[in-house]
Amino acid sequence: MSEGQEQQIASVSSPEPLSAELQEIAGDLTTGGCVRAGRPELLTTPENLLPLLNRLHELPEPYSRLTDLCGVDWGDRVQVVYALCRGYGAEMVLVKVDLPRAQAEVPTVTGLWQLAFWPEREVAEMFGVTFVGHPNCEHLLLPEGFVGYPLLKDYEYDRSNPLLSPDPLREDPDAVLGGPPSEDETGAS
Amino acid sequence: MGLRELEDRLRQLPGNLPRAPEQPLRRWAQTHHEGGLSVAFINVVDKVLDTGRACSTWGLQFGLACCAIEMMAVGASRYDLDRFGVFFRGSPRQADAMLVAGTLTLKMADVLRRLYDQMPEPRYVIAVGNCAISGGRFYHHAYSVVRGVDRVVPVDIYVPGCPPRPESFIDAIRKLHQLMRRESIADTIGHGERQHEDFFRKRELP
Amino acid sequence: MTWDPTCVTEELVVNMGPQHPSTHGVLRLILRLDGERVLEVRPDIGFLHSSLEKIAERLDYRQYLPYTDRYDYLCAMANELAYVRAVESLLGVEPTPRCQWIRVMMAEMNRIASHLVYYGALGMDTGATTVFLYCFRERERILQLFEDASGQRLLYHYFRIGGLRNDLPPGFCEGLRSFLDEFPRRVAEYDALLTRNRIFRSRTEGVGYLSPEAALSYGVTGPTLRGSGVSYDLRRAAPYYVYPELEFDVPTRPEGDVMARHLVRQEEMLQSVHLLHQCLDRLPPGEINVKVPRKLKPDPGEIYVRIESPRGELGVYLISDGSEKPYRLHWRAPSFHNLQAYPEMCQGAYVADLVAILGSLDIILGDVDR
Repeated sequence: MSEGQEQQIASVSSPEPLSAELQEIAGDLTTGGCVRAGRPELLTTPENLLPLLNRLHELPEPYSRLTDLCGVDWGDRVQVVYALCRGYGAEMVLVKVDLPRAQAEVPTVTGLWQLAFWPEREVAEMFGVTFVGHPNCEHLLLPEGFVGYPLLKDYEYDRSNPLLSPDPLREDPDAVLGGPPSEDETGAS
Repeated sequence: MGLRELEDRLRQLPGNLPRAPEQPLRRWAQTHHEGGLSVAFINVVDKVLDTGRACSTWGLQFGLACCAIEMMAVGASRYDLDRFGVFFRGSPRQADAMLVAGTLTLKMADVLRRLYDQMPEPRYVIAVGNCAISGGRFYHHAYSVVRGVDRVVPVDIYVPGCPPRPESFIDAIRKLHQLMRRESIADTIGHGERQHEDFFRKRELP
Repeated sequence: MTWDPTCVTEELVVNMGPQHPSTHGVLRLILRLDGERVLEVRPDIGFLHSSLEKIAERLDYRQYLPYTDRYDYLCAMANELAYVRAVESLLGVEPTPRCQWIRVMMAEMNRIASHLVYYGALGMDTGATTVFLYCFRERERILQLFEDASGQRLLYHYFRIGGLRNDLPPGFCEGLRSFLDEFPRRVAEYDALLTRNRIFRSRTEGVGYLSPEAALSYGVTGPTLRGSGVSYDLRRAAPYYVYPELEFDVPTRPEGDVMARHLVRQEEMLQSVHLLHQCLDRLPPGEINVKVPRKLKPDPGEIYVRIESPRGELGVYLISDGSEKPYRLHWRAPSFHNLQAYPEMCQGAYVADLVAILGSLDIILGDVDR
């Protein structure tokens, strides 16, 4: 088995402190950070996001490739997670931005990577995050006029929508078929 | 309540009763032409048309998700749906039957309805797979999956499975042929739309 | 009628899809055309958005496993592999050696099956219908093996957390071996039938160019990226399970056009055959399951797992809050990011090239829309 694999299995839930290298590069722009399962994580603020990404981008061995962008709802705050890779290699760093749910605004990174166009639209429609400077933040996956942010924890879909409502025959067959079943029928089932 | 009782009760519901078609054409033939010959003529025309329909069913390829891959496999070398006269078309205007295979979502729902409306009469719908029948796996928690194709278009044949085996696919095609052989021009001419349309008025869709 | 050089063409906006035989599912393209030339392509996606990420938060870790099959339905085994690996990493469980070998075997078989669908579909898109039937003939043989092992043809639910549903059935290895012996000859047949066909070549060579720089910026991965000359394969770059012990090449082509991507996939099928031979030779005996608790409650934490699916880099970002259900699950969908580079590839193309370029991306709409 490879070395990285064992490392991964060893410590998923027990974070370790950041390496000195990353601490030096990003220390003043982050509000926290740790290494989890061999993968560094940097926590930053919306104001410091672009400077931090730029700095990671301009390293001698840059974290030049954004591979993923997603959101996480933590109740009172929404977190946007950027996964950066060191070129086409195995090394990866997660940059996380915490946003208050009431005013979830973060600058767009579409200027740095073309990849961010669709994932940012997706996070915007799923979590209600505003990406400042995004050229076109319409609905991407959801139909036009969709109300609500489905991936927030407290979202419930509209059960009165005739296309989504529970099937009355399945939920309450007696009401549909008229009258409750007689007693021996209930016993039989 | 056992399954059989449930079925019986379902059958007694007014909406599910087989409705006797009015057949104004047949009535007209019976009253104006002393019965006999004209009725026989209608029967012959029916026979010819229905055999034609059943022997060359052109399906609208409406693959939505996983079941579409099985639909491709049924059409390909091993199962070879062509030997039942089924040929997939890309355009609804050339199709007799719509094979809805897969998960129908909110965004797709009105497209499905529009394509159904573009198909010429008589038209048939086969709902392939659990998602197309009732939402299947997505019935409980999904916010964007329509709980069954029959909320948008009337369905003639349901094929259960996730995804259905090719054999059940072929069985559905055979059942569709049986359905087609019962069709009469007397049902459609002069009668306007088929009884499906009443079904919609009852459900009051948006 | 003679051609009039003063003739002026008007721009035309054409809608293509979502119900279209060549969009590989339910993709809608809005095209702005000037005659036959494509000025702009705007993909409209979301027609198969089936709320898979939300459903993960409502079900427990085991219940979600069948949904991973329905996510990218052409390579169900690869999705199961990624998800199972993520949950096992959270739990701190390592599967047994035999289980790892079988998982890799299944993933490689699924890669062949998935590439065969791609191969046939690209043939259909470019007007060669016959090769589709040839490819599905071979695919059925793989599906038969999958069915013997798992009981399903398409969506297997074969990997379980901590192991597999069952060991390989009797006769599986022999069946696979006979398939592997025959398959390279079949690929040579497809090669003669499709790849060396003059019409196919003129429709694919130099069409749909993607530069390595654009691929980097768009996050394109998988055979689409390797067709642009970048040798990046997660089986090599960040190997998992038994891949470090196996010997294989990462096929790469520098041209960056449809033909390059096509040749990469064709070569990959042969590499998978090579890998499967090695798996069969070295498959160790032993247990396939490790004991996992009946109630899966991983400690709070998170994991980001990446594997090489037939479409590219497939990532699972899984967060646990210590309860029985995942707190958040996010799929890094390879097709989603590959499709984003599609308008870039279509610059200056003709309308007829669009379907060939789309076919060479090998997108699956379940993967794009999730």
